[in-house]
This record gives sequence, C-alpha cells and structure tokens, in this order.
Amino acid sequence: MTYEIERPSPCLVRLKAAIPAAEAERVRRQVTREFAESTALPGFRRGKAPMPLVAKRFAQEIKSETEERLLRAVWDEAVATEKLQVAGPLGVVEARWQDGGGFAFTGEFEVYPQVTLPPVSGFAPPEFAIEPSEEEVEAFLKGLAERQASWQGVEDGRAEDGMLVEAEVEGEFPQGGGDPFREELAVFRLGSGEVYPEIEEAVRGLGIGGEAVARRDVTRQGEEGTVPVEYKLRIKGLRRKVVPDVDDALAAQMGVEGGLEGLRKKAREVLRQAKKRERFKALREALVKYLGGEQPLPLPKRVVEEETRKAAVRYAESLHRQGVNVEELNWQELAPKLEASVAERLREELLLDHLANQLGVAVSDEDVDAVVRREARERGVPFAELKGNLAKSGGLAKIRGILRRERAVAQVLEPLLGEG
Amino acid sequence: MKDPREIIVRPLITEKTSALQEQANVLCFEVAPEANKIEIRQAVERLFGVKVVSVQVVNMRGKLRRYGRFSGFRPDWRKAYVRLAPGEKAPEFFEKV
Repeated sequence: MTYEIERPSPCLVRLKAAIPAAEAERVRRQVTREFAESTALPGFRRGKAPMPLVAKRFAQEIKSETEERLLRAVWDEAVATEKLQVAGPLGVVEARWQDGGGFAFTGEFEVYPQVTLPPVSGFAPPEFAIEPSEEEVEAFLKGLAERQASWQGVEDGRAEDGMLVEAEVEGEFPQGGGDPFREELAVFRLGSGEVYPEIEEAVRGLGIGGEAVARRDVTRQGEEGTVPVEYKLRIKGLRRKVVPDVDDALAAQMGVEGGLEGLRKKAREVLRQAKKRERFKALREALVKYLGGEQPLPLPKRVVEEETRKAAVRYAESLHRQGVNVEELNWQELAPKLEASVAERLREELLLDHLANQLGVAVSDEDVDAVVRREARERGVPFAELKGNLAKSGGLAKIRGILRRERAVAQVLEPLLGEG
Repeated sequence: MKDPREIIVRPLITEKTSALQEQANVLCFEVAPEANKIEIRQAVERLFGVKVVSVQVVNMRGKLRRYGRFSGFRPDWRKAYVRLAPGEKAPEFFEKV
C-alpha cells in the first residue's frame, strides 16, 4: 500500500492512500471468514454457513469492517513510519472503491507539534534573592503582631474609625413597604464599610448609651423604586484594637525562645523558605519560557477545545459547590480566558514531556502508587478503590505524567539552585 | 401449464442442502403440495435454465405448535430434491435467503 502525507498546518496531517486490489481482497476475505466463523444463520450451525452466503448476507457490514481495517492499517503504518504523535481520531474526508477492486481514501487527523528543545545547558536562570531584607522582616513581624491584637472595651471614649461598635438596631419603614425589624446586637467596625455610610455617620462620635437615627432609601429585592428606612441605633459597647508591641513579650506570647532576636531569626527563616518556593516557581516559569522559544508552540485545535470543555465543567462544579448559580455566569466572556489558560498549560506539559524524554526520566509503578496511597489517606478512602477508579478514568497516567514532568524540572533546576 | 413460480415456493438453503449441492449437484426446494415430479422438473428447467436429471419428493408433516393451552399443527408441505445434469451450474440463491 502507498500513502502520501501532507501538513496543511503544524498540527494537522492529511493522509492520502491507495490500497491495491489484492490487499483489499485479502482483508475482505479475512473479515468474511471471521463473520462466517462467528455467525449462526438459519439452517446452519454456528460457523458452518458457506462464505458466499455470509458475504451476501452481511455485505454492508463486511464492507464497513474491511474499510475500517484498511484505514486503520494505513494510518498505523503512517504514524509509526513518520513518528507522529497522534492527538485525535482519523477523520475520513473521502473514501472510494476503485473499479479494479482497490480502495483509496483521504483522511485528516491532528497531531502534536514536533518539538525541538534548545540545549538545557544554555538555560540561564534569572537572579532571585532569597535572603529577606530588614524591611520585609519588620513588615512580617508587624503583621504577626496585628494577628495577635486584642479588642479592648472603651468606657469613656467616643466612637471613631477603626473601633468595633456594638449597637442595638431597630428599623422601620415610615412610609410602609415592610415590617419593622430589630437586632439586639449588631457588631461592625467603624469606617470599614461593613454597614451603610448613613449608619456610620450617625454613630461616629457617640459614646456608650448614645442614640442616633439614620435614614436611607433602600431598594427592596425584586421590586422597582426605593422605600425609606429609619434605623434607630443605641450604642451598647465600643472596643478599640490593641496591637502588641514587637518585643520580647510578643516573642514569648508566640512561644519563641530567645526573645525578640529569636523571633526575628524565626521570621527570617520563614521568609527565606517562602522565597525559596517563589524562586523555584520563578525558575520553573523561566525554564518553560526558555524551552518554548520565541514563537508560541502550535497546539491541536480539538485537544484544546476538549480540554477547555473539561476545565469549564470543573470550574462550574467548583462554583456550584460554593453556592454560585453557574447559569448566571457569562460563559461567552469566560470561554476565551479559559481557553488561553488551557492552551498555556498544554504547551507547558508538551515542552516538559519532551524535556523528560530527552533526560530519560522514568517513573516507576511504586512512585505512582505512593502518590495514590497518600491521596487515599487524605481522602479517607481505601487505596485499592481509589487506584481502581483512577485506572478507569486515566488518572494514573495523568499522575505518572505529572511526576515525570516535575522530576525533569527538578533535574534541571536543582544543580542551578545549589545549596539554597 | 402452471406458472413455474406457483410450483417452486422457495429454495431450501441449509447445511445439509449446501453439502448436497456441492457433492451431488442436487438442489432442494419447497414446492406446491399438489405439484408432481414432472411439473417440478419443468418448473426448475424453465426458471433456472438448467437440465434436470431426476426429481425426488418428500411430503413433510407440519410440526406441532403449542400456544399455552391451545395446540395445533403447522401446515403440511412438500419438499423436492432436484438432481441436475452433470456439468450444469447451480443457480445462485443466496440473495433471496
């Protein structure tokens, strides 16, 4: 059999093939024989019906099966010979039986692009300082102190921005349109926008026991126009945030030995670890960018579409779990963004897969099992059940792929990171 | 003379008749119950354009059929074995199967 390959685009292959009559006849006979062996016709025991009878009785089925086998044979040969990485099924554009009994067809299928990676030795990692500056340490300690802050009651003071206000609220609709309501203890932080500005304005400057009235026109849900609401407020308590000083006492409160210096040391170490993670992430991004070169890698359209669809489903499910009505989302607007992020992920995977191939990175079944075992423990499900489900859904192959890629990245980056 | 298509009802194609055809050049038909050997020979010769050497007929009893509490018989029918002259090519029936 002879075939021709055309590449209309980097990810699309057009396959034209002509199968000689003798080969087509051989396959047709084989198919007919298999039909004859497996079918039971009236008057004949299974497998005893004569071939001509079977050939006429199942003419259409035999023809389809023969065509499929011929297509598959040529396709497999072309893929193996040309070393193509198939990304989608073969779509038949044209297929016809020739007068002499030969079979010819034209089909198209998508492939992953051919990737030629630049030498890894040429990768120059960007500079990334992991030693935190004094300002960063101070900011970290300040944040730490903020988190240790307490709210202390204010007996004589007046409500001002930043204070926590505890108030009794009574609301009514002077012109009708709603039932009066009452809240025994409403707590809000003044100046933070947690309540209406009219309420904040009314409360500001009041002491404990002080009363005020705030008015606001509100829109009732599902109705047009507004109705005025009158809020009667009575201050029941005021609290001021007290942030502890960054000193030995704070260190002791945090359970750190060595006083303030010990706390500083600890903060520096935490920041250094965070920066190391950031550095690895930045270097990984730089490596992928370097491997990808200047031009964005072309991707098979159908794969991107399918992956985008899956990503959209996952996103919708996660939003639904959070109680968001997914039908109200503008999917038309969201789709291009989703597609761009999927394409970026696919490009990264493709490049890193090639890198792993180039480096000869291997992942054993035990490595995959270890990941599945850890996941099973976290989810609280039996290991065998999770592994079985993953095997069915292709999850094991995905885990293996992720491990391979991450090992390839680590293999390149770890020598560059040195002891840091 | 009767219409040959009224005499020959259908060819019988089974494992047994296929073997007979291959080994002895004998065709097998369901024929009209009132048809005689001469009519069968003439009908086959006219329908398929072949030379017939001999005809053997068998009267087949209808099988017992039971539908719950009711039982009855399928109609009786007549089968003919038609031997073709040596060298005659048997007609292709398979399209009608």
